[in-house]
Amino acid sequence: MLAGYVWLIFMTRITWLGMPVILTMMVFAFGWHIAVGAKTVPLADVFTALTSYDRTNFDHVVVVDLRLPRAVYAVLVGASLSVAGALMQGITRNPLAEPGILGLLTGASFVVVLAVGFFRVVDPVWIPLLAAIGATATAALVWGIAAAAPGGSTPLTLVLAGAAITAFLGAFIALANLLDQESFEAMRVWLTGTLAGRSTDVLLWSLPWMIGGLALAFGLARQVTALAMGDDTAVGLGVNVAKIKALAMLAVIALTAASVAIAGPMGFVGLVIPHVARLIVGADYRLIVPFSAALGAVYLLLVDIAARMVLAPVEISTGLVTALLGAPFFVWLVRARL
Amino acid sequence: MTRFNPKHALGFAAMKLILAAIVMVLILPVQAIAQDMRTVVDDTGVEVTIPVNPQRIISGHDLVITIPMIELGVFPVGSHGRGETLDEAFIRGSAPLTGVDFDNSDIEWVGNRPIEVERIAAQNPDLIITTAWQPADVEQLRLIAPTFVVDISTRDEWSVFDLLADLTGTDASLKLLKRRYQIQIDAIRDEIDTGAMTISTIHAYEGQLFAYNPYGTIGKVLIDAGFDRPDLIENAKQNVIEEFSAELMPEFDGDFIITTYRSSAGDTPDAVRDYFEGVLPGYCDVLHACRNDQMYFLSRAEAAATSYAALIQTAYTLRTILGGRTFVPLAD
Repeated sequence: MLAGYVWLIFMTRITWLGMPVILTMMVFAFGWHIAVGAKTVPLADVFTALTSYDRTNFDHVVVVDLRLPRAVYAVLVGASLSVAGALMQGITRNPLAEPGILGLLTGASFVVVLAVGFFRVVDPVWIPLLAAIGATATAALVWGIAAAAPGGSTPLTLVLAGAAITAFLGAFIALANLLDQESFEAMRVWLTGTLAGRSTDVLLWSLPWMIGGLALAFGLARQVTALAMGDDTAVGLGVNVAKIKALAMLAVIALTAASVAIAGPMGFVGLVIPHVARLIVGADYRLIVPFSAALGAVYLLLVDIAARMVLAPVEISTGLVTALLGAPFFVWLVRARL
Repeated sequence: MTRFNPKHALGFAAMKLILAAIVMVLILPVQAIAQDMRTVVDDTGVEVTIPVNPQRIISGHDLVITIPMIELGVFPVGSHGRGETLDEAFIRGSAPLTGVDFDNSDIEWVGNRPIEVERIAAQNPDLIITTAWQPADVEQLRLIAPTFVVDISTRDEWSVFDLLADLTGTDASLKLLKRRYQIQIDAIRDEIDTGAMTISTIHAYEGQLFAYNPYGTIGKVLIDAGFDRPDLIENAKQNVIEEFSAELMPEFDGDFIITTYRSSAGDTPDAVRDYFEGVLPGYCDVLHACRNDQMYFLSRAEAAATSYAALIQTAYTLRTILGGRTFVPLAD
């Protein structure tokens, strides 16, 4: 009884203290991200670069033109994919749901690859829209396959359908690459998930999708909490289940599409972070959504620092590191929760 | 309705093996009687008994085997080529380097990845030379003809010429090619103080900065002629394309920078300038070579090929563009 009471107080404190602590961590991670890299830049110069930028000073160029945009991409993509994963886990009541495992990242990438490779679509305005079309079609396909399975849509059938569609579309991407190696060579690095050298034009065209998706996710968080308790409970609480699920999927697709447009398919971010957020704040999506956003940003900042520094001066794709960290977590989750 | 039956698929594969075996049984004894044989060890450590003077060779890799063979004066009866159908098949890089392709020679296309066992068997080969890169089943190939596997990840790519000259008995042709190349290298050394000049070879692509040591014909010419290269390139892993942080771009600077554009994909030097802008906006202000108009763009098909025609051409190009001008040296 006493232990339970102490635990309750502890968790309440953590919940209240959690966000300021995570935001402070984000500021530190952001600062660390722009302070370190393949080139050693003195801290004083990092500060000067931010306060009085001098285009002729290469250290300033490194900080402002290379590291700063990349840190911003990490924050935005990390937050978006984490929130997308949290929403998917909430509305499907599936601990393994996230844009990568359910095939949305591959679907979005597939359509972008086809459009860029075969139809030479290079205008950044179209990339998020194309990614959204791919993510939507894949989501519908995965849900359709899972629902048609004996026993209907369960966490297991959803994951299996997602894996099948991911493999299927992945094979098509590989085939397209084989048929026209020259054209698809340009997307080789992007397909591994990278934050390096991304065009600010793509960011600007993706930003409205991200802001819209995040705003929708924050707005739906209360109803998603009810949905996470089961459709019947949600209906009893006055939630329009079909409408909220559709709106939540809209947010997931917008966030996934924008993230893919900026960084390519960055797997497992949406799986890992919502579970960490749930450990801190419990089952209330009014807290899980903002905590996932903040933790996702911190996570991807740290992962990207590792991608840049572990083998420096050689860089590895950020998506490879998220996969290396996320895959064991996925295995653990399958053993623990399924 | 006919349903897919895995037993049928297995049966089909078995039939293909049997067909290949029958072809081998019919052909090999005749070859063994007609030709002197010798035993060599391929790059995978397998002993292979091959004809001393092979007449009907199949190449399993267009860039690595077919083009060098043509340059040595040996036309394979069949070759791997890019494309998925006979109509669209081509020997990558061969037309600009040797003038030879499937459409103007007797070389038969035997598939892409993988090369196709039945097409190969139909050519009645007495030697198959393939690479570890080729996914075709080597055991099936060995049923058709003696098969030598070249592993370019474990050998210097130019040593493939020595190997092919040995396998095909064309050492004399290789000596001539080497002599023509050496004449260009000697001329560069005579005309340019190569040791006092730092030449960098870097690539920007899809927002990333890449370096490749030594990088095809350019790298070989630079090394053989004695040019200095930036430490990061000199110390980079051999024969591996490495991705570097754009923060290190100044460390890849040199008196001159040589980069390449993919003419085969429709790229131009302007496209490469855009790629560099994508990696680092304002890159030209950062790089001494670019700032001083000492950055050159060569076509990648010639610059990256393992070909003596390309090598001689690149040596002549570098001799001309580097030797025929004054330049602003990069400060230490």
